[in-house]
Amino acid sequence: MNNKKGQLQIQETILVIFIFTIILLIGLTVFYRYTIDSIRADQERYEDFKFKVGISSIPSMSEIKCSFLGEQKECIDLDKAIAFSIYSKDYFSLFGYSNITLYLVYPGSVHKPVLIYYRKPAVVRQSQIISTPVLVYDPEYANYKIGKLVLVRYK
Amino acid sequence: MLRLDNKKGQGIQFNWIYVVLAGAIILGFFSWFIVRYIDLQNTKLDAKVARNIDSNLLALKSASQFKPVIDLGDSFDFDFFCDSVTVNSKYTQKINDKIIFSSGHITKTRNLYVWTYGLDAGFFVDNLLYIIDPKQKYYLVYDKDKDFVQTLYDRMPNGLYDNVFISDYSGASLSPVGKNKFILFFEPSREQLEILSSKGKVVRIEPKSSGQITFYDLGTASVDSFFGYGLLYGAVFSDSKEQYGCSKKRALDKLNLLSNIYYTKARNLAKISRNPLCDYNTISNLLKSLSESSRNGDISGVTKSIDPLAYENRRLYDLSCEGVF
Repeated sequence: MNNKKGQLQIQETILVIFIFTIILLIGLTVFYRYTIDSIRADQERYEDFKFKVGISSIPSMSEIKCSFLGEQKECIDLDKAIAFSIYSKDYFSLFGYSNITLYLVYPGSVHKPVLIYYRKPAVVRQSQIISTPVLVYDPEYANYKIGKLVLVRYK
Repeated sequence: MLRLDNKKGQGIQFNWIYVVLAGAIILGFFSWFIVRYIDLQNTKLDAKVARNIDSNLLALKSASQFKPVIDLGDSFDFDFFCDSVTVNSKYTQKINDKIIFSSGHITKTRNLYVWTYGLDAGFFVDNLLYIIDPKQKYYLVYDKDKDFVQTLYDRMPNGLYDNVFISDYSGASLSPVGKNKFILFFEPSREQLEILSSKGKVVRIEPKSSGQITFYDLGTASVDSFFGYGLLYGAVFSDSKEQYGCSKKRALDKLNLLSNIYYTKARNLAKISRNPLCDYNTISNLLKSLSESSRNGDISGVTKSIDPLAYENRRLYDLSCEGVF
């Protein structure tokens, strides 16, 4: 009878440990998933921020910004933007998967939209679009136009 | 009877051993978990700080300015290289689109000074960022070229005058040992070099708008070159030849790209120009030559192109032609 009592106690202990371990593992898994999701959310917020800041920093890039007698002015040089589009493929580390296009809005223009940068992933789950009006200088006609800079981010 | 009592006693002993073992394992597991969790949270914080710095640098890059302080809220260790920053030796953030010169390893600081200064090569290239450790002291040491050194000093923002000093050799040699950097604008003697090297890092820069830089490190001298005040200041605030060389290469790559962009623009202007006086061939050739020099790292080639380029561009404007830049 003492033997049976002892055996019963051991079985009880094993069961308790087993259930405790299961609960612990579930708890750890939930916590791990929560932490990973929180890190991903942080990263996503940062990428979002960079994307939104991009729309104000791109017109300031010396690669496309107007320059008169060596002095920079607050406009986009159309010729420079067209020339930059030839070399912009090296800017993946800066622009990532995105599409940056300059549209000439007013007055009407014979120029097609300028595809400043374009890189699309094989599969697009989601895309974000942001745009801003910009002043564009056209050296061919030596005049200014109103343009729209559109930035599309692919996720 | 006695045997039965012994077994009972042994049973209790085994019970206690079992409890202690199980308790130790559980305690050990939770301790490990807590340590890993704290580590993870610290890494998250380091990542946040690194991204904060990247964002601040992006904002500061937009114009020539001096930001007295990036206040980080707490003390951190930083390792800046030309294309990245590492926080607390754990998290590395790439700094892709900025050209930075910095103090290298910066320990336990809650503030960083950032100065932005433009790089010019006949046309604007980019804003260079100098990241300065508030604890570092820079001594601009002159011999005969005091005027040149004074001009360099006067161009710096007032906020840096607690960290940057101008003096002759005798004044510099009396500086206390600490986090010092001596920037010499003369050829030092062996003895002068030994005395200053015992107090901090030493760099020699030719007192001209373009020339050679000599980095002295552990008894060896290695040479690099610069053009313009932008790169000269870069040599002042760089931690090492490697860091300076890497940032200089990024500046030259940017110059190469801009030369190509302006070349393309010049060819386009040549095609559409209706004014027979507007000859874009000279400026196109100069831009091509500048692009090649910057691609090859040929500083003397770059320097030779700058003035003729600015002259040609001005000439086009004077002839009522569309300027290239």
